Amino acid sequence: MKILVVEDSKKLQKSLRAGLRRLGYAVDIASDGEEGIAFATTGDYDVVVLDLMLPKKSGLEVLQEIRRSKQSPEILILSARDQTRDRITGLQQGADDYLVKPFAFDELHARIQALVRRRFNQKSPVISIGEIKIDTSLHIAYQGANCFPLTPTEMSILEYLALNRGRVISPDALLNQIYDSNSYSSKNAIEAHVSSLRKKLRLQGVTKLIETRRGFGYLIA
Amino acid sequence: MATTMRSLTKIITIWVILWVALFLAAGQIVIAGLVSNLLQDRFDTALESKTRALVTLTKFDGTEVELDFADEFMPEFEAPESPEYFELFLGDGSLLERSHSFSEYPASQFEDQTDEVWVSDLELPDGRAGRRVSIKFIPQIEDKNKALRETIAIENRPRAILQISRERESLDRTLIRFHLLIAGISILVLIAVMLSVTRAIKRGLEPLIQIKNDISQISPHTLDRRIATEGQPRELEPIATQFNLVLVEIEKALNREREFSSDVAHELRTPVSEIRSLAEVGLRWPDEKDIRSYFADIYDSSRQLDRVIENLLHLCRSEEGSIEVEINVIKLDELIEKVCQGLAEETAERDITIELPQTELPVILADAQWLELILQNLIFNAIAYSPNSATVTLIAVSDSDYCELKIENPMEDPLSSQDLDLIFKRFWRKDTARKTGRHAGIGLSLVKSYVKLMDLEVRATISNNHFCISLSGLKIA
Repeated sequence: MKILVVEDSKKLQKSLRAGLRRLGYAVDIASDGEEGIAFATTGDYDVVVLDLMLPKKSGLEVLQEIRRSKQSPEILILSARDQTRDRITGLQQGADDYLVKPFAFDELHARIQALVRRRFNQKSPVISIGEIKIDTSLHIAYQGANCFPLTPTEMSILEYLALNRGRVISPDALLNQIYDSNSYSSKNAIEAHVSSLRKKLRLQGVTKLIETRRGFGYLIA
Repeated sequence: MATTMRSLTKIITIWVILWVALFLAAGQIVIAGLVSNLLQDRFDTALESKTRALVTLTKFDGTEVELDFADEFMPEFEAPESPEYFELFLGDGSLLERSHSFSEYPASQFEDQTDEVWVSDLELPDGRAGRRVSIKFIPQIEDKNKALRETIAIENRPRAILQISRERESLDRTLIRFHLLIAGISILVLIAVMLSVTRAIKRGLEPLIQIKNDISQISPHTLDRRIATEGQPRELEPIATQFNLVLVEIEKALNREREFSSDVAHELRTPVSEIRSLAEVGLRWPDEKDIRSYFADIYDSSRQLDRVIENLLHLCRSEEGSIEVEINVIKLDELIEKVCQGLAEETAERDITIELPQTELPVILADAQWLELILQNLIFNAIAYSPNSATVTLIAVSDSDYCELKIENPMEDPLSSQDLDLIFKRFWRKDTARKTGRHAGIGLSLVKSYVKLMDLEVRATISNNHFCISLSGLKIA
């Protein structure tokens, strides 16, 4: 999952980037409104975490620009403005959620997860594929009592393919979803992670979960 | 206790209807009276004419009085239904003759009056209400008895009284019908007036109702709405215009309140968010590679929060008057130098030059602590809001009693004249994004508050992209 954080506080940028990356998200940071618009309208983000009081362009202007563009990320407003009127305005202008600062990091994470589920029309945090369960909330995959020992990147790949079940996902799309925009990773890295993921699944007796469509990408049928 | 809401439409309608009803009733009474009198006069005149006709038929032949009356000429005196009546009395009250219609009834009570003719109401022998005309006269002597007429003097001739009565119920019925007609017309007029008045009021009040509807649409969330002033009647246009002006002021005030509240929230919540978020992430992933920088950031944010809280407390204490002012003799040049030294780091960081006053500075009387804080804030602002490598100029103007200190700097982000009205407000900042840093928008509020404490004056002006703030009223020792 890829998240864009539009926030002018360097300290919040730092903590949000570190925390969300540790939870397996690819995180891009924009420090002002103009940068936020540039990132959000050209990148393919699942969730945008948006401050309202931003330099150059306000958060509401960023929100309007995103909604006018062809991109349709879920948008969570993260603001110190706590008045009902501010929340109503934000939600009416196209935001999907509103969280007031100061916030609990876990609550922010839970809200991002809810927005991701909404984005993929997934009511439950647990995706079942046959005997295999993928818990997008706890970031674990298991079969019966066996929990698969996956790395955060492998787990992210598995989650993304599971959320897009039935759709062929290209290595480029996976690369974009798994790594930050300024990362130097390549398609080869994706292939290596998918290969490692398959190997770990095979060891647990799970074969043929992830199919390869030559020249197109990967698929969980 | 709840009061009943009065309706203008109701009040105007009721009053108009009441007055119209009053006029109609008065008109009806006058017309009815006039018409009744007219009809009764006509009725009495006709009856009197008939009586006079019978009087001409009454003759005196020298010995007795005779009425030469023939029923066939006046059949109404013997008609079986609704007959008329006559009686001829002599002056002594003796009945000489009466109509056939009287034949079944006893003679009427003889009545004599001094007038020649008199009219009265009575109950006819057949029980109906009637009207009677009585004429007192001297019967004529026939023309053929010319000698007799000359012989008997008028005063020696007998007197006679002829009375003719007829029913008056037909007259009364006509009058009642007339009264009913007038009353009916009045009621119709009243209904027509009521309908037209209601319609006219409704039409007349339409603009007022429109204004009422417009106003009812305005709530604290829709203060940007306005009442239409175009097309309003002359009487309402000024009200609508004035109301719109008031709305503009209310909207401005409310927006200022909202902005203030948002600004306070931002200044207090942002450092708390930073501290909390850094702490949560740091505690959860203590192996984060730059974990040490988290401590520095937390420390920095807590200092920022501390500054905001400290400034707010100063402001509150100053405004509630719990800060004491101790007037001392202060060497102004030494104080300015001390403040500038304290800001040396900021000055060097932005490569700012501070140009001190060229004139000799006086010794003044002021509270050293608060004056130092005022100068610290003003000079710090001048440094912070100047472009890099700019010059901040301090100018002192003195007379024999007072000194004025001016601090002038070129503006990096130019202020407008409207901004000058806001710069002393708490938490106001030109930068609406409120970038984090040492500024919280309280400094000038504090200055204003300290200045007030010491009976000084502070004023801001803009000229040629230079911002100038002057501190006047510094009393020379």
